[in-house]
Amino acid sequence: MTPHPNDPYACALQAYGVAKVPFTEIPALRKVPGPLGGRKIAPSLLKHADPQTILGLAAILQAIDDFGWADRSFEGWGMIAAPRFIGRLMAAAVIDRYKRVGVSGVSPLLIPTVSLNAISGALSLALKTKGFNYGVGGGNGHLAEALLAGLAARDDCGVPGVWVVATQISPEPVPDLVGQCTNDCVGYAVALAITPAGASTSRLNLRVVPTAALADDLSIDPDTELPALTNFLHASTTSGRQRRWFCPVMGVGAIEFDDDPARVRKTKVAGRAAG
Amino acid sequence: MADRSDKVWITGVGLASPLGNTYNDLAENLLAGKSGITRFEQFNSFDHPCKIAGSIGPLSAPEGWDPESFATLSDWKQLLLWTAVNALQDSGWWEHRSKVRIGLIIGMGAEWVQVWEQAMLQGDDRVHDPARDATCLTAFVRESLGLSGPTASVAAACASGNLALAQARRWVQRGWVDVCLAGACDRPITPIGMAGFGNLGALSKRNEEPTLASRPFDRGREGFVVGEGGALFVIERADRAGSRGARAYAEIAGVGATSDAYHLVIPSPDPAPCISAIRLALADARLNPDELDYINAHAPGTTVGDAFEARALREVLGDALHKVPVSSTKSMTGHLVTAASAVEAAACLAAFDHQAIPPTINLDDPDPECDLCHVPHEARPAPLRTILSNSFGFGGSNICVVFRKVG
Repeated sequence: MTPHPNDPYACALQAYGVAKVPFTEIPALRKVPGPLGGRKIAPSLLKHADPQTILGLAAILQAIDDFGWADRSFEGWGMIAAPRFIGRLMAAAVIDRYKRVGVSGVSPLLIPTVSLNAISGALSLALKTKGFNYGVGGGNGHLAEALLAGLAARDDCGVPGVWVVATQISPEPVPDLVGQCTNDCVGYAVALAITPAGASTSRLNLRVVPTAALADDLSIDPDTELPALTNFLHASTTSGRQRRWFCPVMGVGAIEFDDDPARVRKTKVAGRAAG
Repeated sequence: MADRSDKVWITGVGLASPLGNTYNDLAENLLAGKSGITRFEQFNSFDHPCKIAGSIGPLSAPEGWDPESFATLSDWKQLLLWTAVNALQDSGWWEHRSKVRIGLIIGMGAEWVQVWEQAMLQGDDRVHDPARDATCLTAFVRESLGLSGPTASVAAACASGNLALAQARRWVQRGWVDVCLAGACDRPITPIGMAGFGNLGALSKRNEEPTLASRPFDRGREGFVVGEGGALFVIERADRAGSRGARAYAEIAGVGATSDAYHLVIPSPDPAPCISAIRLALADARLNPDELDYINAHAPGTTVGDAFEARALREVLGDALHKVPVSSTKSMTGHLVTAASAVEAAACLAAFDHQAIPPTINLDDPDPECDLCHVPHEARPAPLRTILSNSFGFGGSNICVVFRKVG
């Protein structure tokens, strides 16, 4: 095994937003996904969007609002989005309709709405980003894949920064035959605006660290990773203590969030309060 | 010797395509100008307007794999294992895979929707039972092959294969893996997949003449033909590959990626983002446009898409427009959707190997809107050192890759 080098490709977390919303409140979020500032987002973009797309947009808008970026253009930025099990509700409905009525029961919107890159594409449209956009993850471990992708692509193709968005619904929604959610669940999303660390004075930084450098064993709990990150980000804005948070990455080690409290920012949580 | 410290090579290929399930078969059939399009038989297509596709047929167990256990796997798992094992064997890493950290990046556009649909076809309502969806396909491959590096599923629609190669290059360059297995696979010939594309109005309906249906750049084009399959490649640093005497298919010399940010479905009328993706890839490879020896076009055979790409190429190539040959191998393979640019990367490697440009078949009446230096009907021998592979994904994700011949 080749020794794992210390990763020199750290990123600065320039802004972040989180969303934590009971599933029953997502329809309201679909109408008003967050503080829009002066941005115009076509209602048609959200009308048929997967719930995780709505959550991702809510987290980004929250970040933009919290960090005073309402007037900022993201035209050159990249967009990476990592859903988990996107499309389960719509797929359940479409599968049932196909069984009942055949080809005509399949919505032409299925593919653009539930593909792994559906969220990144929609968010790219919403923010008018023209750097790369793509989806990663899709299943358990999606947060780690998103963070690794962001660190890998942080300055690819000349982008000044990358939005990295991860979304999930916990527990997974159990659909009925028409695609309605039948259980109590909560939607989570995190939106991270990252740039190469360089000489940045950002309070939070991300980097890849080998497992051997960690004091504790890191277990991967696919259902709690993203909620834990939302809690960490929330706490980082309300606590003066120096903190770290690790996202385990199978085969690499972990991605470390290193919080330098020298700069304190205040954040809010879209929907209900985090914690 | 040139500095190899940051260069990344492709040293192994495993694939399955409508033109054959080995690299050599694909190369031979592409250069012979054969079509892989037939009426599909994966399911009863009686109410589907499009009844043709590029199919791969049954896959046998990879060499050294137990045929009985392989036969019990899903179509998706068979495809992934076939391409992954063959790529590692081809590269020489198969026997030594436990000695290095091998990462895995696979372009897959709709893994879970396809899993749920496949279950539905077998009378299983898995989509309603989330507890059964614990392990994704990349984790299955990692565990089955005993790989120790990280994994990722990635998607940029039709550009996913190029995306996987771009990500793998970064993972290798940054030392997160020693070797990376990367590419894309797709199995879109399913009832709901074909219905979805059909209801979008994107597919050719030339059901009575399957081999003539995929006709990029031709005035008579009317939509694309879906194909299935995929390709995985072994990616490693040039110095590592060189020191072990590995076969170098090509260097991944440049990547450019942009977004249209125009519409989820409707192609952008503005070619600027595509032009920018091409230029970024050329700049990354330190190439001028007129130094390109061949362009493997995205060109799926849609009215808007092909003309749009031609417009972008005219802008980029300028005076070199009629000097740089362009072809669309989708005319033979069909459009492999998420896997398209992966199989087209293999087509580029085959072009290097044989020093010949695969043709655009069915290009009987070139559309004046697609005025390019076409290679119609038959392969054209040519000295090839650099190739650009374009992929412009559905929804406006543009990723272009420059390959450079090694040695």
